[in-house]
Amino acid sequence: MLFNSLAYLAFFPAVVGLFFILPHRIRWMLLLAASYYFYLSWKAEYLILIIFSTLVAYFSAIQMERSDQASTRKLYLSLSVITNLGVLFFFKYFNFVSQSVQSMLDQFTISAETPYFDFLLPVGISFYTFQTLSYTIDIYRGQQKAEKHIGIFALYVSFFPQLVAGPIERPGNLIPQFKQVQTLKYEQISSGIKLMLWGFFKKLVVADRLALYVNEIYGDPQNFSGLTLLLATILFSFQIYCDFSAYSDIAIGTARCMGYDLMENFRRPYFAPNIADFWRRWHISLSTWFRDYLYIPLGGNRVAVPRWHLNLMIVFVISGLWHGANWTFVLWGALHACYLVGSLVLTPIRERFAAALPNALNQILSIIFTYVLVLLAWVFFRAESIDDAFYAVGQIIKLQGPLYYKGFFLIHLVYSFLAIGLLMAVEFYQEWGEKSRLAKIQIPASLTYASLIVAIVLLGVFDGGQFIYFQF
Amino acid sequence: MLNYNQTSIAIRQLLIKGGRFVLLLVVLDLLIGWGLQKWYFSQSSGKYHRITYALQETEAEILFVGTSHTVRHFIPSIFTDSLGMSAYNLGARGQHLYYCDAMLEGILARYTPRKIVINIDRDLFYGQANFDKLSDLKPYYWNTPVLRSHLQQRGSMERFLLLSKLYTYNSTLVHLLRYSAKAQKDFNGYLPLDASMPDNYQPLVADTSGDDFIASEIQVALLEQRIVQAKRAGAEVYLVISPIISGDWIRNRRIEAMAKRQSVPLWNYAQDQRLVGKNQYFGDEIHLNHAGAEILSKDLAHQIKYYSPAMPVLNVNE
Repeated sequence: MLFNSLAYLAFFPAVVGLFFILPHRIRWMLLLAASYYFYLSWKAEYLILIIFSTLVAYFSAIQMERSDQASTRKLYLSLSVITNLGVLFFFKYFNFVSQSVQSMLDQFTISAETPYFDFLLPVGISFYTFQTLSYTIDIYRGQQKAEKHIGIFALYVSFFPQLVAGPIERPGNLIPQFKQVQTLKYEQISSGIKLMLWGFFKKLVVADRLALYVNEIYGDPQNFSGLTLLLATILFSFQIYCDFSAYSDIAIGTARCMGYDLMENFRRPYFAPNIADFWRRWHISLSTWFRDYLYIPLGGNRVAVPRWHLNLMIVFVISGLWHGANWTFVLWGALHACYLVGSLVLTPIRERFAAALPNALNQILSIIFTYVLVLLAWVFFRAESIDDAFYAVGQIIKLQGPLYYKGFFLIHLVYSFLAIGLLMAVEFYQEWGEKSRLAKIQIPASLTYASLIVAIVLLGVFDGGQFIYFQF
Repeated sequence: MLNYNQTSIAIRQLLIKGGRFVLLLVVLDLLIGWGLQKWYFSQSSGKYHRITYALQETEAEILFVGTSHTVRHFIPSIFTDSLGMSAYNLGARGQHLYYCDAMLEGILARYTPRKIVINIDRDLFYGQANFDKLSDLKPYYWNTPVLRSHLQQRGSMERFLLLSKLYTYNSTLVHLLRYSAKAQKDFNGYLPLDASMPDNYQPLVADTSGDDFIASEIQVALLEQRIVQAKRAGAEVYLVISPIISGDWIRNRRIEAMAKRQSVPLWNYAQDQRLVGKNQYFGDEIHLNHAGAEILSKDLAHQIKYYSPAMPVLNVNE
């Protein structure tokens, strides 16, 4: 069931309505049933995987907490981590590794066929696997008490607003909320729905509109000029941002209607003045997950400088791989690692440069420069193969025309620029306007959100476009 | 007790403020929708004008139906001069079979042209179930009842969504602005391409494999159904395959069999040596320019003029 579907528009009020009608002690049952039903609507068989993952994490955590012995605790931690990562590896990476090995064998003209399994990637597996991992690791570290109520724990793993594309929640934030009595509050519902509306705007008006042009170009990049590829990449940068942050907004808004606070996942990332800040604004739940469960255990920045840089490289390459089983994602992650390491190495030069310029100009240039770096990396993220990615980069650097905008696509481009303009106007206001004189301009909230709905209905694309991050 | 009071206050606020908000939405939908409807149906040129004219006004004796190939390839005035009949070109860029089928049914519900020319090309059959493009017909849902079953193929909720005037005019804003700002000149629906391919353009190697282009059984059956309806109403139907610059082999055995079954001539210009490979007659790789359209239209008008139902289905000019 997609968020941007009529089925969800019926599902959501039904669940929220029932939630507040039912007594608190059985609300978890409703939410768990709704969450499993939500997941069943994708592919019923894969519900078994999420239940399996839940049971492994649940029992491992209980056993860890019961034992005083470090070796036993480590054993159960390993059991949970290896099992859950094993399932993730099998469904998401097995074919990728197999095909990579096959390519290597072919290179050396070794005739052997590696195995290949034809199955669909279970939706959300990367997200709920990381969520269960953070639970068992926090138990091991003594930062979290094991949840004895299996229903509440199962709900933590499968909570439908954030099940298939995040935010990746921490047990310390979400589990206690399930135990608190939630009362119906108008402000909560109003705030939640407003956030959902903004999410629908980003998805239907911006992301799905941009996708029409981007998919045409990146579907066959060798047929298009550098200028066209550059435009498609710029549009893709907004498409992926809006697509992913829209999902998060709708997820957070849905949960908020029921009184649950999910973590913020995006904070206007294209206004970041440097790469480090970009990663404090983009997919915050994932970047903080990697920080807490990979980067810091590797030593973080409390090691020698070369090791520190290596830690960054490891984290970002794995982060890239997390996004998809393709070398393009690995390169995307590696590129971001290079950016970060580069920015650290060049810090003295950056500071001297910044000191020489007026603050405002420095900020503008920094934002533009950071965006250009991120844009270059998006080429690898979007391209379907390494060859396509390098071809696109090569063409973009040459920057030759003509620009592709034949008939049908010209109209979509116009809508796309209109949509991006509206988006950036709102985000500009959120980033800077709230603290400025612009905040004194009072527009009734009802009119603002009614206009938003008018814009969605008038300008949105309604063919049920899939969310990009579902493939992760 | 406190919880109960809080809950009842919240419910009251939701009902009152929510109700007011929904009312505001309904008012905006009606007002803005009404404005868009007026603007849409007052268009005097452009895509929406041509659809409205075709569905509600034209009584042309010859109609040309199809995709962008149709709108670029068939010059109504040439047929008028040759056959002494009024002609209108319904071709639509970026459209496919389901749209053409709906348009034909919409027109046949109003009147029966004497002749219908349908251009057969890959684009017509592109996308096995491409109902999305039927969105161009949403503004006619309420005033052209025969289109309703076509539009409902877009989804089971479509009939309810079309109660919203705003939804009806979804994604029309840019076109409305464009053709209000600058009129688009058409010639009884025909949109000429004035450009030519560069002299040094080398077309891709033609696909002359003889493999059928893809048209599913369902799509061919749909086309046949509409041809049968048109013929029963008294129209003569002709199927034409226009060339593209490379001279790709364009034919489909299912369509040929259907044409034979219905005794409808199918004239294939896909390898016409007067046009194929001639850069000066093409505006792009797949569309004739005005000069090329003149050659094709004159030849086709001649074919139609001297066609007799006793003649077998032919493939000409290969």
